[in-house]
Amino acid sequence: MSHGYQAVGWSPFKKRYDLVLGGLLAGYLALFSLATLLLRPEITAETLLIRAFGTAALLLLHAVLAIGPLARLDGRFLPLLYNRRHLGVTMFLAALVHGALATFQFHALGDAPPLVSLLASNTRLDSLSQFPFQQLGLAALLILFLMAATSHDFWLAQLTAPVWKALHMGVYLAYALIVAHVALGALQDERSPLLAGALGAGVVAIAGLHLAAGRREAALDRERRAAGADGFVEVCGVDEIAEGRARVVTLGGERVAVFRYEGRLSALSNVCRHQNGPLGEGRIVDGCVTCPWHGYQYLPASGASPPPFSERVPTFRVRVVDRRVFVDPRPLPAGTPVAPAVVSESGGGG
Amino acid sequence: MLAAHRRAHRWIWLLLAPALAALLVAALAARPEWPRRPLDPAAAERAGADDLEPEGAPPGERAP
Repeated sequence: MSHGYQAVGWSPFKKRYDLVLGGLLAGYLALFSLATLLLRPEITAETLLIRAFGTAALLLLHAVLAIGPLARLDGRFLPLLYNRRHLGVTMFLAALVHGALATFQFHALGDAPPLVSLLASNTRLDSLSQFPFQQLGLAALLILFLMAATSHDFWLAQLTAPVWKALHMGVYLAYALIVAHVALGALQDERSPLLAGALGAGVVAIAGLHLAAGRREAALDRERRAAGADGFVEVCGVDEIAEGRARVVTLGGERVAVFRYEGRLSALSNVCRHQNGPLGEGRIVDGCVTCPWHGYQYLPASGASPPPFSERVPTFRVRVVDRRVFVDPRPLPAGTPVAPAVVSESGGGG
Repeated sequence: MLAAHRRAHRWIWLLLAPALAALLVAALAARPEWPRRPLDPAAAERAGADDLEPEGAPPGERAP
């Protein structure tokens, strides 16, 4: 292997996260089962478990999808982003139990093998009420399996961050398939408005959050700044950048983070090498730019991670004139040292 | 996040949101007027269902 394999790096935060997650899941399954038994005492154990794990997976998927845009819109949700993959893997496992039980319940006792029966027993593609919704669920499960199987950082390193991110955007296709699976499956039989209302509310919430976050990001992407004769672009005033923090601007279509630290300014790419997190929303810790998502660090003057780590991000030339910050939008190769601009108290700098 | 990923996210949801809304509306509108044959007819009878299809009637067709 070209990359060393490391088991999960358990930390107190991760353990707490997983304990809470496991407890919430167990509590939900217990409550759902109790409520169903009270309302429908005639239900069989298999049907109860199928519905319990199916609804649990659906709720977990909505939570997973909501965390991203929530963290974009409000930084207080960032801690939920740190171990979101744990949530995703748990959701896949719940969906797997649901799928396995349903396949056994409805397809295991016939002449054909269960998977063949699942794929071939219903071909009514011309009817919405009789649509082969189980195949939609199977397709979603396969996508979720691919994502769960590649959720470890080993695959992130092997595939590179942009490819890994593109693969994991398959969650949106999986979500569409699962909404269709429920809408054309359980919703066709369920007479209570609760399921239809909950599913509709979930779709509206997830779509609304993503559209709101996308609108905010699009406004930042539309920023246009004119370059001077020397090619440098004025981005902000020195006093607009807090000590140890950054100002993020869009230059040449990409985000650039200008950090202020110890009377100096440095500019580097806003995109973390790990999972493309927003470096500019982090802060300077122990002299290093620290990504707010997973703590990856980079030296501000060179964009290189401190030894023994090897990640690098592109850097940008920066200068200060009359306490106004100017950045050259042409990125330098990742890890290129750039002399920081000095911020003097009397105004002006280099 | 890279600019390309941001654009992809925006386009995905601009397309997905109305598609999912249409799917939900279509699925609700397509629901049959009568319930499908339940797995346990005796249980449905206890629950008060009085418009079950008789034994052997194919789904989607009313009883004679």
